[in-house]
Amino acid sequence: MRGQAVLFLAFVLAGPSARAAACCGPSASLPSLLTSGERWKLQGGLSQTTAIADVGTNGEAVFRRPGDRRSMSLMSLEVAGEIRESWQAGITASRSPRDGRAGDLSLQVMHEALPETDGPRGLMRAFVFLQATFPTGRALEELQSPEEDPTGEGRGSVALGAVGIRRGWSDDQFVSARLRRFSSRVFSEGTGISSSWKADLAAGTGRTWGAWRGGVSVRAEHEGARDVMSGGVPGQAAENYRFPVGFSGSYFFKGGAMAQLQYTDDTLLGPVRNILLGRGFALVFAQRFY
Amino acid sequence: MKMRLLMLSLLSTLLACGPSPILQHATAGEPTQRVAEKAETRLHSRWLQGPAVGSESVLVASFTDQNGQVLTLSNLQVELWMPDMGHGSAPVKIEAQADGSYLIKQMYFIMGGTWEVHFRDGDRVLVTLVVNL
Repeated sequence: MRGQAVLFLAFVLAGPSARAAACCGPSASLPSLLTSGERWKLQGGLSQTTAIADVGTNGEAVFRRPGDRRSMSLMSLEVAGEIRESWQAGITASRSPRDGRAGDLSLQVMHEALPETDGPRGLMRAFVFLQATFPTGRALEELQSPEEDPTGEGRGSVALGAVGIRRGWSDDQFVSARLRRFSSRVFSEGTGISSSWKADLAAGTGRTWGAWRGGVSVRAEHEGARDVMSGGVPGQAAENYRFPVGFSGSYFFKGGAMAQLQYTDDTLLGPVRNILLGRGFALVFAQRFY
Repeated sequence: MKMRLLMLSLLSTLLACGPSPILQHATAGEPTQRVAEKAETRLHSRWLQGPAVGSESVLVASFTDQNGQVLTLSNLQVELWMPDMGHGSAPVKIEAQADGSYLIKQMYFIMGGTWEVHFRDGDRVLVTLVVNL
């Protein structure tokens, strides 16, 4: 039970199914993996993120006045199942609790490239995955009133990634990498954005005490420059990057259920550039089925 | 013990990469604005509310040609756009006034930074207002 708990949590640490971003719509997170011998898994989450600071192309973070710190909530549901030996598939959907509007939809297929192997200090495993995100959510430009929240990124994407995990008796670590390709989009006559690349790297570690676990993770996010057309004038949107830090506390129930509280903060680590920084909490529940 | 040292080293490396936003930042100041160059049309504008991040901004705008004649626009459209970020914002609401001006409501600058407000007549951009928040 204890070993399963550690391994299971290594991936929950990566974040809820979709994390709210207080200005620009939620961003698809890493796919949830089956790592404890379960046949499938159901995971639900509720996150709330508050915009704290805006960062320009000069890299200076400008903290907002308290009255300007807009918050956004998002519910997410994720189902992952084993489709054949060493192959898994999953689907992630999200919704705004404020008005019930659907978010982006992600489909993912994962392959266990490195089956569980005894390493010098624990068991090692590695997965590769392909993830497609469909822009079914409401983008910024599709809002009908200022009271609505964006629920999608506004553009579709395809991602290729890998996750490696190591688990010991009472501790675990993970590293992940993902490269995403976003499609282009025209918002209106003379205004649009080209396709672009986005990459993220993450690493984390956790420790287990009985049915409890605490974890910390760091992620590096980078999106490359994009060509934009603004008011009929061609230009370029600058690259952006930030380093979110996540903390989590979890409890494992008997029967394969788990509850987790997460805190994510974009303002702790730099450098940052041309991006919004937020802080948020998420509550995640997951149930494994064997 | 080795693992803790490894994580501590990793954290130290990350902290050394660049300034932590929470330790080194500015606080939002007063907004500024200017009209973009090469405008074919002159913009006369006054903010009734804002401009501000995170709350509704309201603008009264009127337009004149190079000779100072007030323009009556049959299809005025106003679009908020953040060129550095490559995204816009929610549609605004436009109400034509009896004196030839336009009341532009529900202007929603969702984050701080440099915004462009494009004023169009149909597909033709008349003038662009650059707002720094």
